[in-house]
Amino acid sequence: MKTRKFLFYLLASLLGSCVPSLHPLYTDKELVFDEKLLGSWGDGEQKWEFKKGEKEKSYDLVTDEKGKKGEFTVYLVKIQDSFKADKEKEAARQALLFLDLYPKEPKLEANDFYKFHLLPVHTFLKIEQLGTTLKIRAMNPEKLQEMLKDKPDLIKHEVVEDRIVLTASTKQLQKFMLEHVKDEGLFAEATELEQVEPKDLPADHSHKTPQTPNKTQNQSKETEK
Amino acid sequence: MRTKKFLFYLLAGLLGSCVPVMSLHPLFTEENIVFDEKLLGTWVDDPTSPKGTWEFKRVADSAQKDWELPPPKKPEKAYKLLLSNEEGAKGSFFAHLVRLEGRLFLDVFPSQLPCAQLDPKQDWVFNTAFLIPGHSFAVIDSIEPQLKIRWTNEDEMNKFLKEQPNALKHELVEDKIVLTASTDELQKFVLKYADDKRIFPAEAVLVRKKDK
Repeated sequence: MKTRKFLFYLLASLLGSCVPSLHPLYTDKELVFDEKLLGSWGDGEQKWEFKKGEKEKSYDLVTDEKGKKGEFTVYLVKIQDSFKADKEKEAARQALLFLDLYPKEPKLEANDFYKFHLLPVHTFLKIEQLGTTLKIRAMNPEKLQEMLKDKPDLIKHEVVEDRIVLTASTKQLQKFMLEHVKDEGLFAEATELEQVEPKDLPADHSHKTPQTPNKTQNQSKETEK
Repeated sequence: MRTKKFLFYLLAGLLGSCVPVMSLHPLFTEENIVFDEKLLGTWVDDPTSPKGTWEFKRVADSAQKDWELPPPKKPEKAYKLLLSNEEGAKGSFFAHLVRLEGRLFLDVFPSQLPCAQLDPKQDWVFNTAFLIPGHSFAVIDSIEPQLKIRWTNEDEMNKFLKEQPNALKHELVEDKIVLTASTDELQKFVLKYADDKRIFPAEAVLVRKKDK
């Protein structure tokens, strides 16, 4: 099982740390559409291209690293703490922005029985900044695993082949994000992508992605919100 | 989803026209798996005009490809199952025969994730990281002279779990059921409902493929 776990994490590391969820982070009420997200983003080594999606408030995202692509339906999710009522906390209350990534259906030549055995899952990226820079953080599975060891009921999940799969409802997911988004190390080191034109992307770029933080990175103080 | 299901019904004649229910967890532990050589070989639904084939091999006889998922912990008790439909579209799985209180079940799990090696037209490695391989289950009523297998069916299970939501731990993701029950819970459930057509309604009757 360890080998299989390794494979999963290796694959997952290609798009940063990855905690899969069966359910989305949004209902229609939390969806927002920001035109600033549209266009190409890159860091010289990878390119993320957002286009307006077919469904209302959706984006189509194509990621490209060294010709290795990913195609996703993405939603921009704005969640706000409506669970706490007291005024002191109200002052500190702020909206959180996330990207909810969901893979496009594979266009495989394999038969449908095989395709049915591949369960698509949601992944959430926290947006720290959306301007000329897109600054994002992915959830760190190792940190979440630690937290769940101490408090298994923290959020509904299953451990599949040593990998956490969130099974919490959308409402539970939102509540968890609001309560724990600032927990040290829960979200990995930020990745910064700049708005780019296609011509700005190098023809031969090396492999680099949002990173899963190791212990050293976890220990480093993040100053961003 | 409905369109997808319809397409699947058209293609899945040999699977008893079922959309199987997916589970995050397997039906077996190492203690429950058995290996029966009789299952080895190629099976078809109709020997004269097969809609597809089921080929069971020993995992040990099937070379592990670089892009495949790691072999099961007990490869000597696992099968490699290659399913092909009449259009030639394939699916590759690890299969385990599971014996529970004298009843036989089959647990099927993809042996590889989609990749360029599997399908040269595709290069969407990132999508792969967002797919979780699921398990599906069937009851095996006999292996010889006919291989009789009854699969779960998503629509029937949906009806059943709407009536009895606590019968088995699950999540409803859009209109798709994903079982989240533990292996132990799954085993108790399949034993209780092995003969219940609501849970295992989709029968496939297969015979050995004759050599040409």
